[in-house]
Formats: sequence, structure tokens, C-alpha cells
Amino acid sequence: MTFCLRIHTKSAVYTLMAVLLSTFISLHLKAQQNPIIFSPLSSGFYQAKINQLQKYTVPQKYTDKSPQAWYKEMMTDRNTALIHLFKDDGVIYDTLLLNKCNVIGNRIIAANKNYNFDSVKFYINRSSVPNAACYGDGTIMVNLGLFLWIDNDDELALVLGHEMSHQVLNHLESQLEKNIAKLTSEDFKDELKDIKKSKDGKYDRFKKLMKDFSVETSKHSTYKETEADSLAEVMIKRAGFNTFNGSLILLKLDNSDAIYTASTLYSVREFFEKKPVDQSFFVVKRKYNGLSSANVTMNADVDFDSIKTHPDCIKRYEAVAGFGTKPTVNCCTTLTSAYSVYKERAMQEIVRNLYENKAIGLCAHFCIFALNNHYNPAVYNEFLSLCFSQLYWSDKHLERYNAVNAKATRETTLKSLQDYLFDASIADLDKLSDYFLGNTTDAATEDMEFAKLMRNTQVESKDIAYAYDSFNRKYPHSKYQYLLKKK
Amino acid sequence: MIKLKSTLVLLSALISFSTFAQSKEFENVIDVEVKNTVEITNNKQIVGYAFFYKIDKLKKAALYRLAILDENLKEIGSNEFEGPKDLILKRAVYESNQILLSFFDESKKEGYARFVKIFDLKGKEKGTIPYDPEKVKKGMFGAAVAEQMEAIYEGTDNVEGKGFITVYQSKAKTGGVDIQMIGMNGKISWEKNITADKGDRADLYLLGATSNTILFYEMERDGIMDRDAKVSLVGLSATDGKELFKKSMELNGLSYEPMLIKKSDDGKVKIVSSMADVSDKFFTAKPNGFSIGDLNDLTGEIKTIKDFSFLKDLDNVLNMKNENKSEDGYIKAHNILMMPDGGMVMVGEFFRKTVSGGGMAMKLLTQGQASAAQATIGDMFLLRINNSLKATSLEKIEKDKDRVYMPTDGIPIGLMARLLTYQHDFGYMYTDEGMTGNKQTVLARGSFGEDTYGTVAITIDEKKGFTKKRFNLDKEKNVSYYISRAKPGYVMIMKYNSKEKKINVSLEKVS
Repeated sequence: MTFCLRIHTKSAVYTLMAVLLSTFISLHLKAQQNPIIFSPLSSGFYQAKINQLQKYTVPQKYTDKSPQAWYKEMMTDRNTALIHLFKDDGVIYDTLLLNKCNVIGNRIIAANKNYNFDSVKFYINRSSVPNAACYGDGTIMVNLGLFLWIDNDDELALVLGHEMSHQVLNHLESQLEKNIAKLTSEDFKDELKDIKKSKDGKYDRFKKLMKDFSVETSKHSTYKETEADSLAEVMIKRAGFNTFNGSLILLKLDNSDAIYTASTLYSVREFFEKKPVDQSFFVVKRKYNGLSSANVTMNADVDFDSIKTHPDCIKRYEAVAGFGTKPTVNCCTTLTSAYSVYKERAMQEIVRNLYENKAIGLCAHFCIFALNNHYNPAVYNEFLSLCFSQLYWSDKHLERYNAVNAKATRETTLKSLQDYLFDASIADLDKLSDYFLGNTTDAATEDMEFAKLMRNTQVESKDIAYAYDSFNRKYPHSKYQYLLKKK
Repeated sequence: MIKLKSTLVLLSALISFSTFAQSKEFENVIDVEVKNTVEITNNKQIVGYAFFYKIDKLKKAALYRLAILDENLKEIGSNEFEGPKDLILKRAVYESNQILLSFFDESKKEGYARFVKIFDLKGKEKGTIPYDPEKVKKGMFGAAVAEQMEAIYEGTDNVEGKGFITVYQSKAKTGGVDIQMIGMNGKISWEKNITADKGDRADLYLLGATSNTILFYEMERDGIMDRDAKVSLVGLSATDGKELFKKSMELNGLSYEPMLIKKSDDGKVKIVSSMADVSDKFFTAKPNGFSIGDLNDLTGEIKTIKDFSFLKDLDNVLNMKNENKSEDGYIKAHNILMMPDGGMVMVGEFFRKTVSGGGMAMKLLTQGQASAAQATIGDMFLLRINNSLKATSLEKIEKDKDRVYMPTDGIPIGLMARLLTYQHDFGYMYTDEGMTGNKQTVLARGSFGEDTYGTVAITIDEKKGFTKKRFNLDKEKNVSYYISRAKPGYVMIMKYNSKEKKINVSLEKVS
């Protein structure tokens, strides 16, 4: 049964949704007895969507060949990106989170009947980046990372309203038109042709050409963001949401890098000091230090590759909330308990995704952050055991660097953890895998046995075929089956 | 150093709503040539990397991109600058938030083609220091051997808190070096030329720098063909370049050649040298032991801790006669490692001069013109010396023999050892002390035990024995591997896929 609702829902359907929501919450609470839930992955669940995307043909929009060719290329690229996203399991069908989005989305739709929301459909993207995105064809992706920082329906409503506004205002199409007009202008074509032919100075000329282009695009985009904010504010107000409360999410998004760049998320030393491992890393002074610890005062970190996708968040907050005392948000240094059921769900899926993609440094970081913020310890102890077993295996296969490397920035909590994970001896990785496995006693048997299986095969080098076979026989429908197949 | 071409993919964000940034790739507009990758060092340790690309051709010039990476390979700074058509980045040194890069202009046909640039860590250029050929006496370049040794005689190093020292091999008939000291402001603090008197020949190489002194080893000969040389330790003031001392390295019938200079944990400067009988001609001298001493870097005075003679002091553990099956069998001492208990471990390798069957055949075919001589490099060893300076044991690390052809039959063992070292023919690569400086891991190449040829990390136990870690890399089609030195405690593994023209770089622990 599909719980994703069509956007042309009437108020009767809206009432039905409220009933369904309560069913979902109740199902979820029951599911907490088995703390780890894996939502279905898109390659399996969204097969119909994949088929639909694969059948997509670009409509004839322009009569002239050149703009139509650009249009075709851009739309095909967008479609291909979406196919990859769904096929490569970049999306999950998470009933709890999706249902929350649908309930809020439907309230907005019900209160704004003058707009056409027919094509709008929400999906849960597995990215840990706090954001949402409109893909132009009604597809709106809400990232798992966003749920970690949302504390009430008003905030979620503002984000969803903003993305729905992009769709309603047809922003993608108008931006495409503008870009195609520029790309097919005689001046642009002549300059690009000249650059390709020229022997000298290609780079400078190309950079200049693209700089002009991107400046124009960015001006255009900023205007559209403000326009989407304004409409979202109107729409969510009509739906009975509090825009002032909702606007706090913009301040939080302004700090969204903090999960990677803050220095006070947790203490790596305190976290590992009571664990049965060699403490010399924290005690012995380093004789050699690399450039990662150099104190850079010149142009300090201006080029940090920010994950902030809304660099003008503060201005937008002021525009939506009005001027006044700006509240302090604790986003990303600690997680508040409000909306905890959604945060817990999102966090589980984030660590699952990071583990699945062997981003072990980041996975361990999110696990420790979750433990530090009193999230369900059984889940994160299990994932930490899995992380250390995987690191042990990666070390043996000369893949530890890639597994640990989180491209952490100097003087951050993530950097301290990354350094420790780079440096920990193989014996300590073994001990930590065992230690965290021992802490999973509250976990469901299947979860504990999977962590044990990984330890047996990755650390203790037990026969993989035999071990996998035994697990499969015991849990033929285990949620971990797909991971075993991958491994 | 890696050189390959790859296509730059220039991205331009065309459409952007929230995270969704649809991008269009303008491929094949511009080619990027990855010119070099060099390690950035500080006090002889790797602290980061510099990647150097050619991104554009200009009239009689080119545009380059420099990327500065930290020791974990994260890009921390970059710059684009114009330079000569074929610019090669040779070395990079770091000191107090600044990086000195040493360049070689390959396209320059005449004169001197070297210069250095100073950048901050974010890649902002602080200055360019050319090496001006007019300031040195031009002349016919001397010995061919010296030309081959150019890489050894040239050097750069950081001077703690003061800046950088750059050394160029002088091309005057009388040899010597031209030295530039570059301050933290990116400008020359002082310049100096050291050469021999008319008719003589001086060769110097940079041993290293302390915060007070720039140290050189000088070999001075009466003529260019002379095999004998007066050897000295030369110290220049790091502040103004004035000569602080020039001490003869010949003492009590022995001639010393420094192997390494390092600051020990007690703050003293230790000097480890190989010894030869002073009556041997310098260039053909056969080392007969090694010496450890404390060096006063202000006066040049060396207080000998102990001279170890292979025959007298080490014969209880190292039977040189056994190693001497062929007349010219010998050992090469690579490094002396200071252990936490005050003891020492000498890392060395056995080698001998042998005759090659193939070489012999070539000799007959060429009527004696070809050389039949080859060097056979054997096992590695760890020679333990306790804190009472007594040799206590010798641990052999077995590896298959490697054979290297020698250019001439008459090559003496001393010169053979130098040649094998400079050509990197020995299995020994370097010693890694780890981030805290308390681990001793020898990195070596060869076929150790039953393993096929590869790179091995040998971590030396404090008391006895060692553990080996071999970097086993799965073979993949079109993929070649390079294992090289990385930050302390790690090696860098670079995979190059020739078909996809992709480089994958990772760091792996040595122990």
C-alpha cells in the first residue's frame, strides 16, 4: 500500500491522512522494540518511478534547432540524474518521515486552492545535508539531514512551502529559458567557438565567459529564492502555521555546517578514555604535525567548501520573521528533544547510509554525536561496532584512509575523531569493535547477531561463506540481507 | 613525481534551486597537464603536498595552478600564476605558515633555469626569488659525475623561525655552491658563494640546518680528476651567512663522511658518519665503520660518543669474513636509530661486487669494452647496540638478491656504495618515526621471505625482533601503483588508471 498522497486531495482525504498518521506513529512506537528499522530503498520500492523516468521523452519546446538541443540536453541530464538517484538507492521510502511531509503538504494545499499542486510529490533523500529540493517536475526531495534540525511543524511547513512555491511559480522552467537564451546568443556561441579554436589563453577566456554567466545566474536564483520565501510565507499562514516559529529553520540552516565544523560537539578524548584502548594518542605530545594543524591567519578558511545551500539565510530570516531580537539557535551542537521521533528515525537512516557507503569516519561521527545527545544507545553502539569491524577490515585491505577520511577541517570535533581513527592501532580497532558489540545487549537479537557476524568475518577472519549461510538460514528475511549481498 | 594529462571538467551551475544544481559539463575545452606532485617537508618530515598543473598555454608562457594539500591530502590553498612554458616543481619546504617551492624551467636552453616562489598556506604568493646566473662565475662545467650528482648537491631546507635556505650547484670550474637565505618576508636575507681556489675543485652538499647554522659537507680536491679529497664540515651562520667554522673531518687516521644529522630528544644535535681509513683515496675509500657524536652547531666541535669499527667492535655479531666470500663483499649502513632505552639500532644491507654471466658474454663480444661487473644486493640487517655502546645482536631480514650492472669493472666498493645509494638500488627506502617520534619503522622494497617484490614496513621492536607489514595491492587491469613516503606513520599509495586517466591517492599506516 502506498501512503504517498496525490496532491489534489480533498478535505476528506486530509481527514483520512490524520487517521493514517496516528496509525503510523503507533506502528513506529511498536517498532521501537526492535530499535533498528531499515526503510525500503528506492531501487526496489520506486521501480514504477524509475520506469516512468526511463520512458521520459523531452517535449518539443522550441522550434529552432539550437535552443531545442540545449533544452533536450538539460532535461535529459536532469532525468538521468533522477534515474541514478533512484536506482542507486539515494532515496528511501520512509513511512514516518514521508507521512509527516504529506500531512503538512496537504494542509498547505488544502488552504491554497488557487494554486495547482497536482504534480507535487515528496520523497525522502538519504543525504545528511540539511536541505530540501525541487526538481521541477513536481518532485520534491526532503533530505534526512533536515529532520535532525527541525523542531516543529511550522519549520517543516516553511521548508516544504518554499519548495512547493518553486514548483507553483515554475521557477525551473523560467530559469532554463533564461539560460538557454544566453547559451544560444550569437555572442556566447562565437566566444565559445573562438576559445575552442585558440591555442593560447583558453583558460582565462573560458573562465571570464563562465564568470559572467554564473554571476547572472546567481542573481536570478537569489531573486527566485526570495520570491519562493514570500509565497511560502503566505501559503503556510493560510494553512494555519506560524511563520515566525517556522522562520527559525532559516537561522538553523545558516549553522548547518556546524555538524562538520563545530569544535564542541563532543570530546573525542572523553569518549574513548573509558574504553579499553591505548590512551597514548591523547596523552603523548606529537613530535611532528602536518599542515592540517597549522595556524592559518591569512585568508583563514574563506574557501571552506560550505554545505550551506542558502548563504543568505539571515537576510531571509529577517524578511520572513521581521526585524527584532534574533533568537539563539543551538542547531548542530546539540539536538533538542522536540520532534525526537523524527530525528531518531532520520539519524538511524543517516548512519545506515554512511555505513552502507563505507564512509566510516562520518558514520562514527554521527553515532558518537547521537550517543552524546542521548539517542537510542543500542542503535549507535551496534553501528559503532560495525564501524570498527569495517575499519579493521579496511586496514587489512589498505582502504582505511578512504574509509576514515571525512575531509575534516582544522580544530573541529570531526577532525579530532578523524585523526584518532587514522591513528588507532589495529589492536585497538579490534578491541573497540568488541567493546561496542558488548554494549548492544538492549538491541534486538537480529541486530546484535549481524554486528557479531561482521566482527567474526571482518576481524576474526572466520569463514565468510559459512558465517553468511548460517545467518541467512536463521534470518531468511533479514533487513541486512542486502548488505550481505553487497559485501 | 607524476606526469600525466587529464581533461579538466569545467562545471557551471546553470540552474539552482535549493541543493539542486543542475550542471552542464563543457568537456574538452581545456586540457590540464598534471606536471608534478611533490612532498612539502619541514625538518625533513612530510607535512603536506603540492600538486602542480599546467592549465593553459599562453604566448611563450603558460598558466599554472598550484594546489596545497595538508598531510591528509585535503586541499587548503591554491593559486594560479603565469610562468615559463615548461616549468617543473622540484621541491617544497614549509616554515612558519609559508611554503617555499623550488622550480626548474625545462624550456630554458641557456644559463640557469631555477627559481623559488614563496606562498602562504592559502596559496597567496609572497615573493619570487630568481637564481641570477650573472652573480656566479661562469665556466665550463666540470666533471660528468658532478652533473649526475646535481640533485644531491642542490637542496632546500627550512631554518626554524628564520626562513628557507636554497642551495644551487655552482657551475664554475672551481665548483662549489651558491646559497640564498630567504627570510619570512619572502625576500633574500643573504647570499653566499663557496668555491675552491683556482685550479682546485670543491663539491659541497647541504647536510641540513639548525636554527643557528647551515651545515655543509665539503670535498675539496687539487684537480677535477683527483680521486683524493680534503673533507670538511662547514657551518654558516643562519643569520648572516658568515662562516662559523670549517672543521676537517679527518682525525686520528680516519676520514668521516656524515650520514645524518638529527636533533635528539635531549636537544643536542647528533651526527652519524661513516668512517674510512684516511690513507684511502676519498672517492674510492672503503668504509670500515661508523661514528656517532654530539655536534656543537655553533663551533663545529664534534664530541665523539663512539667510533664503531666493523672489525674490532662489531665482530662478535657481524662476521665480515663471512660476508666477504667474494673479495669485495661489504655492508652499507643506512641509518642509526635511537631507541627509547638509550640503545641504538643500525639498519644496513649486505652487498658485494660480483661478475655477471651476461656481462661477461658482452665483454667477449665487445672485445673487452663492456663491463662484466655487477653489484649483488643481499639481506637487510638490524645491528643492535646497547646503551653501554656494545654491539649485542644482529638480526637478518632475509630478502632475495638484487643485481645491478655497474658501468665499469674497476669500480671500487666505496664508490659502488655511493652509486647504489644515489640510484636508489638498495632495498632500504627510509625510516619512519611515527607522529610521536617513538616508533622506528624501516620502509624497504624487495622480495622479503616468500613474498613477491613489493614494499614492506619493518617495525623494530624496542628489545628484540621486528614485525613486517607488506602492502599487498590487488592487481587490476590498466592500474599501476606507486608507494611513497607520506606523513610520519604512513605511506602514500597512489593508483593510476591509465585507461581512465584517474589517480586515486590514499594514506595507509605503516604499523
